[in-house]
Amino acid sequence: MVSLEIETDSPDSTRHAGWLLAKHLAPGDCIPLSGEMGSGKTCLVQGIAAGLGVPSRYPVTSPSFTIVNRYPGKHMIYHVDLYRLNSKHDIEDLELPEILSEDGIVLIEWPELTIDSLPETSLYVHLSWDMISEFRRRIRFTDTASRFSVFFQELSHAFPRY
Amino acid sequence: MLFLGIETSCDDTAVAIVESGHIVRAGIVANQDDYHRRYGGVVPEIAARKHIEHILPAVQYCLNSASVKPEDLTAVAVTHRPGLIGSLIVGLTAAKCLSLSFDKPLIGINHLEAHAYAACFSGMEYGTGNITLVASGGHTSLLMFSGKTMTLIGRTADDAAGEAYDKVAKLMKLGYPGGPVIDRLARTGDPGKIRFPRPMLDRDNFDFSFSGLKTAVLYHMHKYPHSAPEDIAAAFQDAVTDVLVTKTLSAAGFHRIDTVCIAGGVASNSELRARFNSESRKRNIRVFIPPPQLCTDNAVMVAGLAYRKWTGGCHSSLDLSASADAGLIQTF
Ligand SMILES: Nc1ncnc2c1ncn2[C@@H]1O[C@H](COP(=O)(O)OP(=O)(O)O)[C@@H](O)[C@H]1O
Ligand SMILES: [Mg+2]
Repeated sequence: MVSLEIETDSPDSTRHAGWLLAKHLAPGDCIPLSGEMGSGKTCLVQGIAAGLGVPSRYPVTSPSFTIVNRYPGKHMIYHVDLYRLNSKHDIEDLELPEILSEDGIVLIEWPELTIDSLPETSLYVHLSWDMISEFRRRIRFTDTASRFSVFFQELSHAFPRY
Repeated sequence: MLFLGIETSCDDTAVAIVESGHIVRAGIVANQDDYHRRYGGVVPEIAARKHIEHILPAVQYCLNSASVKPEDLTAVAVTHRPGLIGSLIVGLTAAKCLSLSFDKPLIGINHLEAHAYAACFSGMEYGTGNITLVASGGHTSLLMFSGKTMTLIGRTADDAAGEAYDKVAKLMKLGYPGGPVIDRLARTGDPGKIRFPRPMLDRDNFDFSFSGLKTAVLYHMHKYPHSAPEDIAAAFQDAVTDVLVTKTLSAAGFHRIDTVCIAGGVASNSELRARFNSESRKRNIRVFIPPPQLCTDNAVMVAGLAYRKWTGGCHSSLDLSASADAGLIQTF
């Protein structure tokens, strides 16, 4: 298990991190994005979607109400947000199992409720903010299956250690 | 002419019977275990299962309370887009079954267009060229109606306006839903003490962005822990209102349209209604805002619009499908 933490200083630099990640993703990947409200989860997904070539007429918006947004790109992206859900019980009523069985990339905001029912995940992402600057976010990527070493190299190159 | 309307695009199961587009004969909105407001903006009603439980009793209730027999109906109308796909499918399937068993035509309705139609219950004449703002927990869209076409001219790039209310209310620990609590609190606050950003107001397009407001509030609360909640609420509401009103009215100006409508749950916000009324008067623009119960999701707007669709010669086939997106191309 390898982790890399970067610091971004604007929404665009967070999007850039997502953009870099995009080309290392493959159909079947399911990536939990944890972090408090406003930490930049949706913003990171915007970058991933751009990196996967989602056309701009499909705006990448918060799925808090819709629960699942779909964007067509190089692969289908399922942008899931479990913010409004209460319990595992509610999740059973969602189409999550169907989505997970599709050949797409699943990105899950507020994944805590599902974390132990997700298929084996090879990358976890955690975002956080500190109170020093309104525009600074920390993003920690954890690679559990040694699949993302090239991505980590690119990332540390693009975001040199602070 | 009587139309049965069904609306299940999100959390609420709604059914109504409306006569000739504007006479409400019956209407019901069955929602979350009778307004169970659990802390934190959580709505357990996402379950399509709940729609299944509610839908037929709601239809029965409407037929009974309006004293309407199935054979009296002209057609069965249903929201088929946009919305939560699982939820839409329940309403659509029910509508198809009723259409078959009552032997009445089916009419598919776009949820956003139905929201815009609600303004006709406040005196707007159907077919009037207008700009409609639909703002709710799940939508922030600017629609332009002119001639027989409806076009999407603006939308949110991230969070919906109603979502911003709910999330800020959660940050401020005010409970759920955020709209009414912030509206109430804001009345006792001073909107001039804090200035939150007006996202996208400087852009020369009609798109919105509200995700930055939640972080602005968060950082403000951290930096000024003794800031009065009523002032934060007032300043937040002022920022949201300012953006919604300014963008909508400048879209009207840009497209030379003299009528605007506001719809969706956020349209029941008192400050937004007041500001729309005063600002549009200054610019000689007419504003139509539906009564509050027709701002939030309901089936009256669906059954009402169905009459117009029907008399305009539209109906749907039984292979009508549900779709998560609005099916509108954004033009500008
Ligand atoms: N470095 C940064 N990375 C990401 N977002 C940032 C950053 N700095 C400021 N922001 C702002 O913070 C907000 C993050 O919102 P969002 O992506 O919706 O968060 P979440 O989905 O985690 O709730 C956006 O308004 C964004 O503009
Ligand atoms: Mg989000």
